[in-house]
Amino acid sequence: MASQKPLLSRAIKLAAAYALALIATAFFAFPVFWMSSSSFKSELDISQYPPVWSFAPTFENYAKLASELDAFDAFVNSAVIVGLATTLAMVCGTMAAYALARFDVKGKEVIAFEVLSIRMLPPIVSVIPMFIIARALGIFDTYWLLAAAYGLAGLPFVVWVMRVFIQDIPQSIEEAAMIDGCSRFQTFWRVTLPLLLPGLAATMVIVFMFAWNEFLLASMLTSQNAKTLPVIAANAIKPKAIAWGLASAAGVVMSLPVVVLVLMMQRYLVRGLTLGAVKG
Amino acid sequence: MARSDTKTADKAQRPGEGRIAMLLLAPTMIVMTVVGLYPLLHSLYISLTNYNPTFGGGSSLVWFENYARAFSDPQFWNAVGLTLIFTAVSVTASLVLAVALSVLFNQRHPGFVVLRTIILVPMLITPIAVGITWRVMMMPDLGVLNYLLGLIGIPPQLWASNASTALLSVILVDIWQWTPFMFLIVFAGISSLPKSPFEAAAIDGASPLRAFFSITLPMLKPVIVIATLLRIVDAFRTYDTVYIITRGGPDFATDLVSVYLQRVNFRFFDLGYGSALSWLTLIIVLLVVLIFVRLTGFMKLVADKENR
Amino acid sequence: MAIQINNVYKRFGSLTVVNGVSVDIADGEFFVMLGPSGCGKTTTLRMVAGLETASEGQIFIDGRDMTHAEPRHRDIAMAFQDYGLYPNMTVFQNIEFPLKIRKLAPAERRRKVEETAGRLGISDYLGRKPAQMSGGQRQRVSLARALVRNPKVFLMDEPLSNLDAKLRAVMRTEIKKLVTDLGITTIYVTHDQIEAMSMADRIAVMRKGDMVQVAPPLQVYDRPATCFVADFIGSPPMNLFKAELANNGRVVCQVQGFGDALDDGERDRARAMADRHGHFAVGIRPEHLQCVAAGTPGSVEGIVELVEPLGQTTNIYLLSGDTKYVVVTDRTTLRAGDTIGVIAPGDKVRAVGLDR
Repeated sequence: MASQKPLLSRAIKLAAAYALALIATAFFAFPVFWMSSSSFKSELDISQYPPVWSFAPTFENYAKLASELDAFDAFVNSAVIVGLATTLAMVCGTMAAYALARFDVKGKEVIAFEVLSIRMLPPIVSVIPMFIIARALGIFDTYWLLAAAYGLAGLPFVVWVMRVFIQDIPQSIEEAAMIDGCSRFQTFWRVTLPLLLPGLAATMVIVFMFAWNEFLLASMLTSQNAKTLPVIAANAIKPKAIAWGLASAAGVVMSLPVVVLVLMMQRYLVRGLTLGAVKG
Repeated sequence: MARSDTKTADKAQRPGEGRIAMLLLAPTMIVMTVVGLYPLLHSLYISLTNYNPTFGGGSSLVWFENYARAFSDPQFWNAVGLTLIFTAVSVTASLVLAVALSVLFNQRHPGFVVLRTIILVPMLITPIAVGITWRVMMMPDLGVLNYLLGLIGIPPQLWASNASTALLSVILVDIWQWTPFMFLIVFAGISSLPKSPFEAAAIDGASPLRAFFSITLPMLKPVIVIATLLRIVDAFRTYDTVYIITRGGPDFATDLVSVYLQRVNFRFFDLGYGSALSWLTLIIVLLVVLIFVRLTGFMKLVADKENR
Repeated sequence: MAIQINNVYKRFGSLTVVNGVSVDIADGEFFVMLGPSGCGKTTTLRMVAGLETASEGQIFIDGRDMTHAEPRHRDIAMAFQDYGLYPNMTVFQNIEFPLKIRKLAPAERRRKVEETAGRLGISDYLGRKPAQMSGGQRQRVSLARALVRNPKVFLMDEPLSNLDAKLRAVMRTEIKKLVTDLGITTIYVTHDQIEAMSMADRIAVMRKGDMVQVAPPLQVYDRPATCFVADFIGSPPMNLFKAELANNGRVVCQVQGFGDALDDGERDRARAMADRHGHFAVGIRPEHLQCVAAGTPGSVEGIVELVEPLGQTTNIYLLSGDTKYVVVTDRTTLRAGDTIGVIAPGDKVRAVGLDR
């Protein structure tokens, strides 16, 4: 039946599909385009109305990022904090995930759900005690505090997702390795880990993304020394004088690493984002 | 045939492995206790005191006074109501959009893969940057949105600057940023559906629309439920974009719970009261999740998956 | 190397999966554990491998107590149902892996890998990844990986069950020849009675964690210890008729004519194996029953319900009274509805015990 449909109606359907797809893409892409183009506009161009579409691109906003916003320091802060947090979450989380996936642990379902409930916790609940404790310990506004907070936020996620990735590897492969003469550690190091690398990378990218983009905790638990990129970007928005070009440039610099990394890992993304529940 | 004793394979007890599991779990347990559980309990304690660092460091137990105060705090309940509306509208809209997009892109015409990847980008943009961009675009006088609306003959809007449209505006931003997340997941679900039920339906003479409602949607239910649950939890704590675009205004029209809490805690430093509000928020989130889980039979879906 | 399994139990919580199994396996023997899903055969094998710890009892390999030794210290090889190949390694690297772990010199490793691959006919595939190979080829790789280190004990966990029927028959004879030539003690787990019959020196039939019968294949076939064994082995399976020892020593049987055919030796056995109510079963293999003209003296009258020609043989489904059973004959002109006589030769009728 389908093949006998008039050619014209098929052509209309195809055109409609493309039209809808393009409209949808435009809706989602336009703000990103606008942010990027604004970041290359001079202060004059950016306050034109009607908006200008062709203009002489300038890098002055990016230059100002370093001079006016201390973006370089913030970039280093972000990198160190997120790096520490990601490492912490990945190492601890993968170890726990391996235990939950492969060993006969008593009450492991309970442990798994306890871990998950932290994912559900609004950060606003723990921010006050963290603030108070950090002040008491003198680690307020340091790398350690935010790294610990982000590490904790990423940990349950890593445990859940890595557990699923580990379960995806047939048990018999590990057993074959043990029979072949490997100790438990050798089995993990020489056989399981190489197979786990794509999953590890995808999980790491997602943990990285959440930590890198985080603002609420960062704005409340830092004041001078440990400010991250989102915090200084938000500082570009002041009620009176708003530096739009500068803020847009900050937005581009912040977002670019995540966009690049995540799109590289697209294949495993769904699995990770749904805590392993949906196969990509 | 599955191996006869497969059921037990996942928890095999091997010689000399008794303590390894505990050793592997220990760091996670320690981190969760020290950085997770302890602050949580501490926050519960603070919520029972009148702690406020601006009045010197001292605090005394006031028991449930903060909670009593919360129940007669119209600002808080305004925030809760707004957050519920925000969450419900945003999640529903992005779910519908995501399903529609998934069906559309499942046609797999040439070039669709590229468009699909472009659509994913918003969820990756730092929320602060999203806020900045949309705030620029929604400026009533200089914003590009009003310009674009003008092109198709729609009068300029005040967007986030007007109390009656501000909430809708921030919801629009949330939909823009998070529909891609839902789309990613629903599309993965739709593209992994088996073909045979659709072929059977076509042979049975079902129209494409009928097939969508009686086959596609039911088969997608587990995926949709999981995506929606994750989205609800995240939408409930939306802060960054709203903070940048409206800071809760104008006239408290976008004063979501997290924005209000931030004000109580870090503008007024009323930390005892703020902690009580945090706990009430946590309870409300749990209630919402619980209702959702009940309504959708989520636990049953999970259980079915485990025993597949 | 000989293996002794000594009163071994395996419990998962309140569930007993292996229920006190004891068996001695001789050096160089091909020992098959046969049974349906969940009978404990795989768990028993995994306990020998060290992939599972026995809850109770001991396992000796070559006279040494290995009950609590790690797998790597047991010097055993194993083939898995899903092959357990390392998907990220080539065939060569897969086979080489156990030698690498044992820190053999590279030249020595290469020589051994190539020799073993040649023996299994996979020399041309050494550069491929497992995903690029068929099921049969993959199983050859897993066998090569097991054999490359000259193991003294070879454990196989349903290695052929993921292959199609034709390939299974080929691999069956190949595996048997390979391990017999090398003189490796082998424990082979399967739910396929044909594999068990054709390969085993001895078969252990398992049911609900017990070894119901341990004997050479033909003995298991000819003298099944219980109804479960009788029913599990042979296709179509042995006909079983309910029977009872009356107080006067007479045998009362569901189809009395068949009960009467029991010879004295079987009657003695029946007396020994009947439960406390005197119940047992009379078993006759379908191919041992003979079809004769209705009314022949000493025959049981039966009505033909269905005739199933298989080419080489023909299955005839019969009804005597309300008892159904089957006879295997050569080609026949019988048709459904015919009434015939059935004779059970006395030396082929068995007394079979009931299962607990």
